[in-house]
Order: sequence, then C-alpha cells, then structure tokens
Amino acid sequence: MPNSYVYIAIFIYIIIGSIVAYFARKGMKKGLIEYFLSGRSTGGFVAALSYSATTYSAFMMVGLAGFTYSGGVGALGFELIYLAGLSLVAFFGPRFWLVGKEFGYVSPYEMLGDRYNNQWIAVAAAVTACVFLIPYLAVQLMGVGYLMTGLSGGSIPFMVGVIIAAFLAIAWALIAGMRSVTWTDSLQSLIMIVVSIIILFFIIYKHLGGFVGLFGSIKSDYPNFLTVPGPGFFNFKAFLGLTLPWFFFSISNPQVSQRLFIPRSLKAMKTMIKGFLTFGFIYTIVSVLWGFSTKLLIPGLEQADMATPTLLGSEYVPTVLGLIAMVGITAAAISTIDSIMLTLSSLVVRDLFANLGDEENAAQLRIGKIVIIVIALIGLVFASQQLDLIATLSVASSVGLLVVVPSIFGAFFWKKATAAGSISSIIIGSITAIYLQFSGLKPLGHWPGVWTLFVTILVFILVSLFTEPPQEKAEEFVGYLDKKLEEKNIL
Amino acid sequence: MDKNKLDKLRKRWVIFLIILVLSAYIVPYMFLNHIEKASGAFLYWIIFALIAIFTTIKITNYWREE
Repeated sequence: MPNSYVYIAIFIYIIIGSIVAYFARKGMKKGLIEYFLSGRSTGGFVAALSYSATTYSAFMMVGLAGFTYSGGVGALGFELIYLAGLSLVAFFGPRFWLVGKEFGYVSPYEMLGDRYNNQWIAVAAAVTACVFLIPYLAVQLMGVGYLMTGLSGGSIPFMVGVIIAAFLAIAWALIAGMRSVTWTDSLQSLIMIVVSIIILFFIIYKHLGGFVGLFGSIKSDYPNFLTVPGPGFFNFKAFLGLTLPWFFFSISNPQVSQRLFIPRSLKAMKTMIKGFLTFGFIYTIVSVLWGFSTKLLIPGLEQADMATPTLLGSEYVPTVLGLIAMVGITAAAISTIDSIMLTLSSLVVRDLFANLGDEENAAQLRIGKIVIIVIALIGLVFASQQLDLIATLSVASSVGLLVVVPSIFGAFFWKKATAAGSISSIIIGSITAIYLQFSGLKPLGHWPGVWTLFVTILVFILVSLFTEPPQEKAEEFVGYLDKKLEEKNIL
Repeated sequence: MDKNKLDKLRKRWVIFLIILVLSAYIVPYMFLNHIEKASGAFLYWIIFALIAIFTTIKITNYWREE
C-alpha cells in the first residue's frame, strides 16, 4: 500500500479527532476536578463509549484475534469472563461514585489512602500503577508503529507511527483533560466498533460463505479449535492464569476505576454500564471471529500476533478497508493511551506529591499537565528501545495491578481491614508479581496472576488481623455508604 | 428498601454471580471438551455472557436517585 494512502487516512483521523477535542474545550470550567474528572458531570452515553474505548485497547483486534488464531475458542471464554467481571461495577460503581462525591476523591488510590488513614498506601499504589502502566502504554505506542510499518510494506519507519500516536495522545489529553479524552474516546469507540464489524462482514461474506460457512469450515478443518483445551494453548491452568487478573480489571486498573467517579448521576452510571456491556459483548465476538477467519484464510503463520496485520495487508482485504482498519486499531490504542496518561498524572499529583496543592489546586493542575508530557516521553523512549523488559512488564500489568484488589474490597466491606494490611499486601504482592513474571516460575503449574492474588489476599487478611484498624474513619466511610446504599437501593 | 431486604438481595445476586462465573470454567472444561461444534463451548460462553450482562443490568435496575 502506498505511503501516501496511510498518511492521508491518519491525517483525516487527526483532523476529525482534533475538532472533537477542540469542541470539548468549549464550556470547560476551571479547576482540578473539572480537568481530571470532567467535573463529575459526564452523561451516560459519553461515559459508556469512553469506558469502552479505554478498557478495550489495540489488544482486541490484534492480541485477542491472535489468541483465537493459535488457541481457538478459549480466547472467547477468556474475554467473556473479563466481560462478566464488569458485573463488579454494579457493586463497586455506585460505591466509588458516592464516596468520591462525598469526600472529594480524584484518584482511586487517594480514596484508599483516606479510607485507611494512611497516605503511604496511595503512594505505594501509585508507584505500582506507574511501574506497570507506563510499559503497557509503551506497548500500545509500539502497536501503532508496527501497524503503520506493516501496512506500508516497511517503508514508513516504526518511530513515525510511535511519535504520531504519542503526539495525539498528549494533545487530546491536554486540550481539555478528561473532557477531551472522553469526547475523543466516544468518537474512537464508534470508529473501533463500526470498522471491525464492517471488515468482519466483508471477509466472512466475500471469502468464507457467510457465518454458516465460517463455522462449517472451522468444524471440518480445525475441529479442536471449537473446544478447550483445544490445540493446547488454553490448558486449564493457562486459562485460569489469564482470566483471573482480567476478571478484576474493572477495579484493579486505575484508568478504568477512576471513570466510576465521572458520571453525573446514578442514572448516567446505569447507562454507562449498559453501554459498555453491550459494546464489549459485540466487540469480543467480532475480534474472535476475526481470528477464526484469519485461521481459515491464512493458515500457518508462525506468530499469532501477526494474524491481523497479515490479514489486513493480504489480497482478501481491499486497500480502503485495510486503511479504515488501521485507523480503527490506532483509535483503540490512542484512546487507551491518553486515558492512562491522564490517570497516571492524577495519581502523581494527588497521591505521590499530595502536599503540593494550594486552595485552588492550581499548582497541582499545572504540575499534572507537565506530568502528562513527561509520562508520554518516557513511554516514547521505552517504545523506541523495543526492549523485552517493557514487553514483560506490559504483560505483567494486569497481574501487578491486582495487588490493590484486596484493599479495595476491604475498604468497602471489611471495617477491620488495616492500613498495615493494605500497604504490606500491595508491596509484597507487587514483588511477587514482578518476581514470578521475570523468573518465569510457575509453582505447581499456576500462573503469576493466581499466585499474586493468593499472596496479596493472604497478607492483607493476616496483617489486618494483627494490627489496629482506623476505626473512626472506617465508621465514617462505611457508615456514610450504608446510609446512602439503603436510601438508593444499591446492592 | 430496608437494610435486611437489601442484604438478602445482595447475598442472593452475589451467590448467583459466583456460581455463574464458576460455570464458565467448569462447564466448557469438564462437560464440553469433546464437543467439536459451535454449539459446544462457543455457544455456552455466549449464553454465559448474556446471563452475566442481564444480571448486571437487573442489579442496576434496583437503584433509584433519591
């Protein structure tokens, strides 16, 4: 495909996205809450699309399609168990939202620090998030680089895509903070879903004889791809190791849990939940069917991750659709990157350097904007190095972020949970996650996610049992919630 | 809604969701591992996800603004 086509497609996407970001800026008020949380006044529809765009990254159309290509239907189970994990939002969503408004939290870790009456918890959790999420962000940047190189047949250098992605993410995060992020996210989520559906239907009806033909061919050519463990990748322990961290994604990952603070009302949160569940269900099935289709059309690829790029560059996909797909995948990457940057920036100013602010929080906001650029630059440098270390940390991110899960459960449901329990579980859990991920050890055959969760829960409970809980704060926090939950019929 | 009723409902739905999620591991790996058709694990996980989605929506439908 000629370079000019790729550049024109990206250019159109940049223009439309920037217009949306610019309009988001209009009507934006001043202040930190406005910048990081869009004033806690996001409508349900935008919140739903933004949540979807943030939680679903370039992983779906590339990684999940690749999982299906190499491991069969297990990939569907894996991603749908993640989707079922979003049911946690029905319990945690309104709780985050209520205490966020009442106690003025901006970051989810600020909430933990306050609830356990110990700022160091917020610091530890924020450091953990930076360690795991910056590499994750770098890998998303690399994804855009590889995609543009692949589609141009190698003539667009890798770093061009990386720099374009980083620049866009910075711009769309800086223009109006969470407001421009959620608005551009909404646009991008629509691009992601429409593009993936169009291409799927095109491929299936043009080349595979419709859905009946697709499943018929899979059944006759690769029958074990319709079972688990199937071709072998999804043996039970691998499946458990992959799904367990992802089941808790909605509360473990700050860039999505922070979004529980932004809806303008409970009704908006309800719309948000319905919206992202519907989006996720469709997007998952489409990505998996994309993987199956590639298996039938282009079998024998050595690297499963190359399934999607190879399909898009093949004779089965017309140039225009290939370009549109590139924009769809780029949108999926950038909508995740800018959200992570914005969230990490809020963690840095609210949790790492909590004592910076003056009354108006203007100092925090100024620093927050600088932090966004610094995080993007670190991501850029990481991406340019293409190190194995970065890839490993990125894979470990869903595991590493699990370490806050027991503390979050404890904050809402266990008054006897203590600060010592929380902080020790976060630190020991993170060390466990990093050690297992880098050593490649799988004690008793279980994956790092299983052990990290086990160790973190154990430490959290044991240490809490032997230390003193912050009784007054626990009463205030849980007491306030109990009253409100009863008033509002929240389960 | 009073606290007891709310607690009861909460417990019921949480238990239901736990069983549902466990089934997403147990059923495909123990009972559908020899069915090499789209009507096996593929269909089961789709139904599982739809039930999870409707359960989640059902839970949010109890909410009221004030």
